[in-house]
Amino acid sequence: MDPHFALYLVFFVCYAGLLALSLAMDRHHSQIRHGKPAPLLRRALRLAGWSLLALALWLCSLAWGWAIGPVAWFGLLSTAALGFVFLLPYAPRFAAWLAVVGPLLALPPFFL
Amino acid sequence: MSVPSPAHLRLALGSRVLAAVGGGYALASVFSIWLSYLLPAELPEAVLGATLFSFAVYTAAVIWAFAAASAARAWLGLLLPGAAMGLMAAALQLGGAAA
Amino acid sequence: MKQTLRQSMSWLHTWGGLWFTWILFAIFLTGTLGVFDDPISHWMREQGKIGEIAPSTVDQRSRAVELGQRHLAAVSPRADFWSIGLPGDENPNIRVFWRADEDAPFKQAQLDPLTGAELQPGASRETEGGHHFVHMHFEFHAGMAGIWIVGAATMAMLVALVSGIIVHKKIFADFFTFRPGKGQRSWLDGHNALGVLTLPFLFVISYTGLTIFWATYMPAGVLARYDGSEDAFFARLSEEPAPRPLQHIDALMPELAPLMRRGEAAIGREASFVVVEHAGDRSAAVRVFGRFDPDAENDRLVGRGSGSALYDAITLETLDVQLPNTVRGGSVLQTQRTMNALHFVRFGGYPMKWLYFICGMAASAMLATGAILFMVKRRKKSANEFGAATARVYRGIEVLNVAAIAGLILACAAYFWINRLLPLDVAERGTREILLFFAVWLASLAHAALRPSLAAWREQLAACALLCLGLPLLNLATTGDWLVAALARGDGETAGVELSAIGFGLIFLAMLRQLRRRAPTLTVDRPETAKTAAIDAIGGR
Repeated sequence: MDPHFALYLVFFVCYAGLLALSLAMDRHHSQIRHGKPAPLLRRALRLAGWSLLALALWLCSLAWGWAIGPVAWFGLLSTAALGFVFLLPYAPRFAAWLAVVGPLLALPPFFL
Repeated sequence: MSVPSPAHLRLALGSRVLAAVGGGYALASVFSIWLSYLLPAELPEAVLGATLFSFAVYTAAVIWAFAAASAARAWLGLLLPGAAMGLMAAALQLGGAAA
Repeated sequence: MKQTLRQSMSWLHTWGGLWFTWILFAIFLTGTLGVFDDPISHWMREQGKIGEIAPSTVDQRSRAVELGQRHLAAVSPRADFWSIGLPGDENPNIRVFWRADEDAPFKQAQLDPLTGAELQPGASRETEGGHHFVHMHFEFHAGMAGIWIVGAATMAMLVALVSGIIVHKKIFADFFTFRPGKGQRSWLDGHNALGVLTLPFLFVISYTGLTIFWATYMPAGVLARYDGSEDAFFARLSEEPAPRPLQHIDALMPELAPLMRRGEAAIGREASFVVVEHAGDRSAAVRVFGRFDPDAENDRLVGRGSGSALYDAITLETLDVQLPNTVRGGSVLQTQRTMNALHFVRFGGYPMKWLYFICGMAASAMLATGAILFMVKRRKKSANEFGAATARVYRGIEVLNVAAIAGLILACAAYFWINRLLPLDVAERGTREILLFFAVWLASLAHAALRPSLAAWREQLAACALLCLGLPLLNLATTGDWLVAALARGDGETAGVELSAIGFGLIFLAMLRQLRRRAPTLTVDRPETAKTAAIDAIGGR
């Protein structure tokens, strides 16, 4: 995998994973949607969140190998988290939509 | 440093800072010598490996010096393991020289 | 009178953090800029205008070595070392470096690659470029003393990280929490989020920073088990021949060009440097270094060497050959080298550098927010830690906050301006640039001391914004090169520097706007003299 492509892809996979994990928390769920998540939804969000983070690690290993991959994973996890946390209070709904819109805008150019 | 007003409190704080900075460094140094005898590596590598760990010991020692209930306990908690490791290293050195 | 662990750690984090935060901010900010030392040097030396340099032939390299050797033999026939840097991608000239003996200063000159004539000052924009930031980062241009100051601050950083984690009440519950517009609460949220979200980076970068200089900082092991002989220790550790002692017998140096060709053949790479240790002495040795290949085996963290070959300068015997991308020494040494590589981002190219850059900037911001939070708390309500002197100490801290944070950013931005505005033909131009950098920093301290703190913050941030946003215009005015031209020729390094400057300029503008909006709450209250506050805040019992 081309490392530049992987950079964007993994960033948004991490971002989506963190978004899911935050949606599983009452405080942030009410920021983005209304009210609290139902118990089942909460569990599903947690599962989705951790799975996406694990997927991100695996994608990193494909792009960079197992020596550099974990370093890239930590770095992308940190940058995605910084982006999400500092966007969330200013534009909560946009912060959520970015998980969908971001990859749609950033990834297709690589296939042109 | 915010300075506690009564003199004995100021002294206790100074003692802790000294324990953290000087005592912690001494403990980390002794630790690196001690561990270099125990690591399952050849001599030059054992010294390097032990030293790489010693910065974590220094950090822990500083934390301990301020977490301990009193300045005296802070010193004791650094001196006892330091002395134990120092004695053990000396014994290993003498044992190695005899063998 | 016992206090909880959290209280004692809070005291340690607050005060241990405060006294080191200014130094640490300087270390992190310049280190983060240093991630891009090559692009910064590229911009400062106007290398975008030179364009691509055609790969050199072996004959051209031999000729360059001959010319370099002729120059060195003339200026310093006996020397601790000579070094000849061959023309390469980034510099079309021959660079020669030498040092007469171990205590003498390093000297250098640039030579014309065709004639060997020394290039006079003014022929090119002589500058330390991005290396200035790297040297600030690990030694503040203060040699051994600087290395120790940085080491002490880095230990303080590790202690602050551990104590900070213990103090933080709800790392996981607050993981995604940032509440802006709430004064002190927001500063604390910001400080926590910046620290927690980059925690792996912070630990790795601090610990690996210490272990780079492990033998300097923690020499006990080498002292105890090698009688302090670092040479013997390192020769065995890295499995390389030990340096040979000076014999003090004059000897004629051989032609270096044939040795360069032998070296290239031995390691299978183009040479980048030819170095002579103990030139003019019977103990002289010649080392040929290969050129670094960024694309070779770039999936590895460690062991990506450029290769080198070592020859006895008198007998011409081969002393040692290390092939590129081979590893020597045992697994512990590889561990230490892996830690170095992690610190220097010597892997993965630009994507990794950007990740380090972002994390480094977040870390700098974490330090800055910590320092500001300290004063925000006390502006609202003085904790009166210093009795009658409290107001004066607070004022001092406020001044240092402005100078250490806004002032350093200003000095860094000014360094780019100095590079473009200082006449080309001044002597020691590179050193002069760095002196002026420190002069700007000092001026920012004086300004912070003379102005009310809010005004000082505002004016210095405005100056930072102005310098950053004006940088592309300055480049256009002084060199005729500009952003669009750089983008058009695919010169990402020049364009990257200017686009980043614009980005930072916009961030500073946003901060200024924020400052104006919050201005009324920032006035400094008279410190209260309540004894209870003092007792609360002392902590250290």
